[in-house]
Amino acid sequence: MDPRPDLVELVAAARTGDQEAWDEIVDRFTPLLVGVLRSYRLSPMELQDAAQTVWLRVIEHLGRLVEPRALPAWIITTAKREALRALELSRRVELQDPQGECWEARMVTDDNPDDDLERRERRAALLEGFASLNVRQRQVLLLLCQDPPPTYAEVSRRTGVPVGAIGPTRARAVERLRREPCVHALMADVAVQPSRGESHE
Amino acid sequence: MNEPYDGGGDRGCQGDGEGDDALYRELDDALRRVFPFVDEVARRAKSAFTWRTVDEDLLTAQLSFDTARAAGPALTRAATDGGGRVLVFTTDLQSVELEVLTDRLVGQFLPPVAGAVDVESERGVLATVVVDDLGFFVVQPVPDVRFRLHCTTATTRVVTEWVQL
Repeated sequence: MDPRPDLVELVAAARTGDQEAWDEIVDRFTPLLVGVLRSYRLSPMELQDAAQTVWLRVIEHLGRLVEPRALPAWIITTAKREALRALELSRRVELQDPQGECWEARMVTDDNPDDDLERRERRAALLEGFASLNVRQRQVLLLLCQDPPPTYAEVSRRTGVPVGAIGPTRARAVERLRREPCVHALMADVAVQPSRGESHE
Repeated sequence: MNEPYDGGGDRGCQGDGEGDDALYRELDDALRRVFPFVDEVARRAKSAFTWRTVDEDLLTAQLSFDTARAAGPALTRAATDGGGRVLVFTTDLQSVELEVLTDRLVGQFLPPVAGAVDVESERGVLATVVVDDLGFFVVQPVPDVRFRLHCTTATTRVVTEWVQL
């Protein structure tokens, strides 16, 4: 009934070299990984590199992962470490060449400096929960988050979900998300949390 | 604007209307921040799996001594019968040191031992170099991409972590 293979099964399959299982792991957890990295002031190129390093480490780590369900936590920890390492490296480069390209790259990030820890943790929890959704739910939500959002006809064309089922798919996804343990903990205060774009000053 | 929902089905799925709306907005916000990077990060991660699937353990201790082989055919049978066969797995490489010079990398296996080094990038092997009896090797030029060293000696294979200089 549930088309989502368990993470334990996916990891076991990936260990044997199953590309499809690996692709599914990557699709599930890339938003979480990028979400963690976005909390740091990395240039787009540094972010891509740090992300790739984390995935390479996951590949190396797969065979030794005793508890596959710990993978999200492992990804978060490793991503934080790699982000800090990238920052350290780029600081060194900047000191040598403050007028260089790296300096400009730094300006490209649009991270909000007022972004507080709690908010980052909340986003990470939501993106971790996002990984538990099925493929269609993930695709629909990712497409709809664009600004401006694509029309339902376009979403339908790209995901194969009928236009009339897009709203319900989204609603089911959110409902499912709400039941995830990592998200459930947030729900107590989600209603009173402002969600976007407010000023901190 | 978007085309309309298929009304009934949509409403029927809302477990906790307001809470879900707030949750959706927050998730939407989180996804919006990662969206521009997701495709490229995922594409690179997927292709990294193809060139080499899940690695052998970082340190692979190999069979270095086996009384069954050392003793020759006749004795092998005797040893097997008696159940006294001994196998020894050894790794003789404890560390790999790398010195980064402007035009090359100079490395050494410690303790000193001969072997070979494959310099691997995500796309495959960049270069293979010989390691002399004192454990020394040279990689030239310095790799400008992320790489790791796949080190082989007579008894050991070790893969270093990925590094980018």
